[in-house]
Amino acid sequence: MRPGLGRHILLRLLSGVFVLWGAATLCFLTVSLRGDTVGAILGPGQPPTPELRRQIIAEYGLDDPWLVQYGRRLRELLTGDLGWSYQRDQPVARLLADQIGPTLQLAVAAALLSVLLAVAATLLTAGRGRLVRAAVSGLELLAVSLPNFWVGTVLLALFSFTFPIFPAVGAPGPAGLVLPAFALALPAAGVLAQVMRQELETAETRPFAVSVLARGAGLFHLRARHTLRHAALPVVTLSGWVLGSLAGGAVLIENIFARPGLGRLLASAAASRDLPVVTAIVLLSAAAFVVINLVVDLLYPLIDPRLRAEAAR
Amino acid sequence: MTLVQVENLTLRFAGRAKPAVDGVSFEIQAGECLALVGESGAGKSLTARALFGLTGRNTEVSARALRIDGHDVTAFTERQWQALRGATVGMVLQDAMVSLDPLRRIGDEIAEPIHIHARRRGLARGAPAGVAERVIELLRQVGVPDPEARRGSYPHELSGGLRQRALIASALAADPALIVADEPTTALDVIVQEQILRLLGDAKAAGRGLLLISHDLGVVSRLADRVAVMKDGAIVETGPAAALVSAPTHPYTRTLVDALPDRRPADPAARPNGTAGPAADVKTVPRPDGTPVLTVTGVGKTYGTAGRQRRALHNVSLTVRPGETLGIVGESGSGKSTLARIALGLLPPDEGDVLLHGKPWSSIPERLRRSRRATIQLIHQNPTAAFDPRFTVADIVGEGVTERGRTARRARITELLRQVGLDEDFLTRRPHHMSGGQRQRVAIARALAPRPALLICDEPVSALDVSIQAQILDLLADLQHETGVAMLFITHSLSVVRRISHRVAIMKDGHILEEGPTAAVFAAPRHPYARQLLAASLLPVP
Repeated sequence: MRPGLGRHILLRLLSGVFVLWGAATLCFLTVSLRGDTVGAILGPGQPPTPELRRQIIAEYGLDDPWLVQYGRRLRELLTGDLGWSYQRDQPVARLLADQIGPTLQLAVAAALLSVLLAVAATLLTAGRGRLVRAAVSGLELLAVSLPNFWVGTVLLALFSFTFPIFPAVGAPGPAGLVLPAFALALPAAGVLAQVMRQELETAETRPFAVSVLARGAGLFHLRARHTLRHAALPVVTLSGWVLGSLAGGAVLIENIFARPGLGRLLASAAASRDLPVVTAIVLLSAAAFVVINLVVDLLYPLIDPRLRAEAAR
Repeated sequence: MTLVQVENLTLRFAGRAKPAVDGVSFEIQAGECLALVGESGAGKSLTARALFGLTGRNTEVSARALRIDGHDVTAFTERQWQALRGATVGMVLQDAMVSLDPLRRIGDEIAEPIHIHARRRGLARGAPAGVAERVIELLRQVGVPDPEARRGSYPHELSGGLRQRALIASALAADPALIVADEPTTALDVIVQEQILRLLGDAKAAGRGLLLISHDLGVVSRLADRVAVMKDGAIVETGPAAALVSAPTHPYTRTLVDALPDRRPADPAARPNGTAGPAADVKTVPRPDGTPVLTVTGVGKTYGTAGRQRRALHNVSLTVRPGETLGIVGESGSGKSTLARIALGLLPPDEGDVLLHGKPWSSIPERLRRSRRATIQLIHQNPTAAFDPRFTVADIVGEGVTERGRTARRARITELLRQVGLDEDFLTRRPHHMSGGQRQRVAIARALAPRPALLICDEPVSALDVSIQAQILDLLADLQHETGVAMLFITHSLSVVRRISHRVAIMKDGHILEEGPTAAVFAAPRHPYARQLLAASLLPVP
């Protein structure tokens, strides 16, 4: 192991803990201190009797000063107690465990698909004539700009209703994954393709590319063995952002395609102000960010040996 | 046997009327070295690329004859070119730091041509047998110590010389009959340059043809059998190397020969502008009574943290007096730039002391230094990097001008430009609209603006063509004569330091090995390393 690597990871994990604390605090402040918590706990229906109100306030400690409530919340989170859903009468941890599988499937499929699409677009167009590049670059821009709920709806209309190739909604298994993953992957693929092509073309103007060609290599060899690796560097950098865009997109896509998952759970929890569920999902996303960024950090030196010396410092 | 036959090669960028290479003809025999010499933009590299079919998409290439190793390549398809590249012609580019893939191990880079051509010939789909042994053998052949371990290194882990050797090994790997070396030693220090030239000489002795491309006539004339001088896309003169240097016929060749720093006329009166100033042996005598501008005493500097320390400077002492130039020569990593940063007060020394005009400089806080900062000015190797590209020349030079008021400032800026040989038209130009020489003149004007007592010049001419180098050196000498400014002149080039310095200090591994009057050091170096350094820069390659 490299010297200093352990320390480096420890520091990153510490800063990750700080991020999680910030996320928990923001959740507490924005949701807990505003509005009628008792109403949120009881859910819609007839207004609670004063009797019931008092009972809830006592049970949840809502008459304590907010600092005490905040401290209690942090203590619960620290012990791994994510709380009890107001609306579904289940432990939040169980809810998450049930819903995380489909979302992970969707996110991983969309991430792979976006990288695949980006690599394909890059290889097909890098170094081509101006017309091809302008056309593809325009398409990529479109992919970035189109809201993915719209893309999802159009894909549904086209490939489920007009041409029934894929199941419409709620279908389990790989076939049901295709359309939502596509809708989710498109914007990320657009951005990645633009960045990758730029980097690939830059790498191919560098002297080492001339060296490689002068050894008798063809364009395929140059890209497969040399320049695509250079183009992968910004993709690694952007993977944190890709995760963000996937997490945000999942909320909409899961609702459109009526898929089970964290996004749909989050949407319904937010609508009914189910604070423990919202907090848990926000914390989970924050943790995912921390982990992804740590992994990216550790991946960098593997791809770019020039960073190994620096990372060791 | 004729390896390469080029007849009337013309190369044009699409949409341009003027060809970039204009009717070039030459031949290279097996075991022979032809050098193409000329300034940047003369078409040398394009001519070389034409031998690889790598001139780029937007070029039209035509030739009456273009034969390589018996093949007529004028109608070659891309596939045929690929079979030729690496196996028949091998390329060595400048600066292996960027000419080797920085993400791959050098062993893989060297093995690459072997794999490519084995695959092309339809041999085993996997790795051909014995590639690892061949790579080690190649590394040994190019003089890389401990090749078994070094083949696992990345380019950035090697010194410039070792990197360049690895690059040469990769060009030799598929055993080409012709090596094309495009500025193979330009980024290297004299001693390493010498070693690399020897290595190329070995390839020649082994019967390979060699096309050597350089802007430096001095370098190529030591290895080349024949020299072809290029200017504006055409070969203006061709001949045996020795004859061409001793008796150039074309006027342009003559300017190149004259620009060789060792050959500059020593007599100021013989110089074109007739101004006084130091030449090969320096005429201006520093005022002996002047208090030193810069006094460096026993300075040491160590980089890194405990465990991974590197001593950059050991007990370095020197003085620079008014009107005097002290040249510092050494290879990269010898501590020259660290010394410059300490002298500038940008880096605190770990030991020792720096005095400016006899008053404390390195030991005082930055707050107190700031008011005296204008006393020392810096000239970089690369002015492009040191200028804000959005600034005009007036803005750039104006940064250093201390005069107040629009008219006074403008007058001072114009005067400074005149001093560095630029007229008022340059006031509104921006850096990218100037040549390298003009940019360096602007950098000098900016450095002179606050009327400094000391100029620190860090490789100020290394990025320039030889004839421009000579002009800038002349300019610096003239300015010193005019203003009495002292100079600390840092360079890796012995010929440059010889031209400009009154005294010279030779540095290696953070030590000053030898210091004394330039003429004395050059005539009779005492330290063994100094002797080796001088020998490397003067001896012809056998």
